[in-house]
Amino acid sequence: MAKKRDRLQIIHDILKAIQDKNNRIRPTHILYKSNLSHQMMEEYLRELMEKGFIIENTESTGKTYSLTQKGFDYLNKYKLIADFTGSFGLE
Amino acid sequence: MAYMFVTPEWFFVYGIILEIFFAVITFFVSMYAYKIYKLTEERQLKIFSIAFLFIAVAYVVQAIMNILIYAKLDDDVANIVKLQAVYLFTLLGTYMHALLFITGLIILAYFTLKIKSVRTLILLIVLAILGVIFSTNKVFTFYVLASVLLLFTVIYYFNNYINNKKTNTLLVLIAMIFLFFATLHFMFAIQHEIYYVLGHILEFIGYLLILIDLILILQHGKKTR
Repeated sequence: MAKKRDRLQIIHDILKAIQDKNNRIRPTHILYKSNLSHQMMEEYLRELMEKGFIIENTESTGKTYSLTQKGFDYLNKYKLIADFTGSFGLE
Repeated sequence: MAYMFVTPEWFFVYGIILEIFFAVITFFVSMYAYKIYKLTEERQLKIFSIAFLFIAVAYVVQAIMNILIYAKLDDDVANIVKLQAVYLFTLLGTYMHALLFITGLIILAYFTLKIKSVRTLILLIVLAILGVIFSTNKVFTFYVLASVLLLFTVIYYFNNYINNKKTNTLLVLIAMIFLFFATLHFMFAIQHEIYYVLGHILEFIGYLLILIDLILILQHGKKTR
């Protein structure tokens, strides 16, 4: 029951972590901020990229992640998303 | 004037107004669920949106058919022609409303079961529709099926409230209970027209609570953005 809500919250936490780091974050920081296992974090990042919430940047120093407009929209509307999904049991 | 259906004459216009209100609210829920789906890409939001869209269209069909019946009853034509037209509209409207409404409720129940098999969903819809079509008392069977499906939904929202005790979840739970009791009343509307009126009133309270819930969600969303 609470599994899905946690999912939406985790997605929010990952996106927020990226936003708070000036929209450019290393995977190690996401791992630290999201409090997930490495495997789980990889799964979430893959899903977020597939859904178009984040993009992966390859730099000389390694990989970083940035939010897309869709990712920013998710963060801006998160309260609405959480209230609606919670209210109608859509978590 | 002797009507061939269960609606009391004095309630006819009120009934149509209420059905339009139900259509607007359910369409609003569907639209909002779709909007949130576009933001989150979460599958169950799409299913939920489709379920409410079916229910909204069911109410639109019911309202249109009732408007046509009402217009026909006011026509200054021979009684036998008038009765035939009214009978046809009643039959057509009731069947279309029943099939759309049942499909919507099955999709809603499917979402509450948290299963991901589309074949299961199709099987449930086909079985329910065949059940209604081949039963001797189609209207009664429709309301029995709708009651069972709504009871499932009520149980789901009861658990949702227990796990997440907030005003919003309580409002949705109470709304679903009202909608369940409304359907129970419609089952007996064939025997007495007062149940038809009571059913509409209970349904109105149910959808009003859903509207209040949506307003609270929107206000809270704006405040904390």
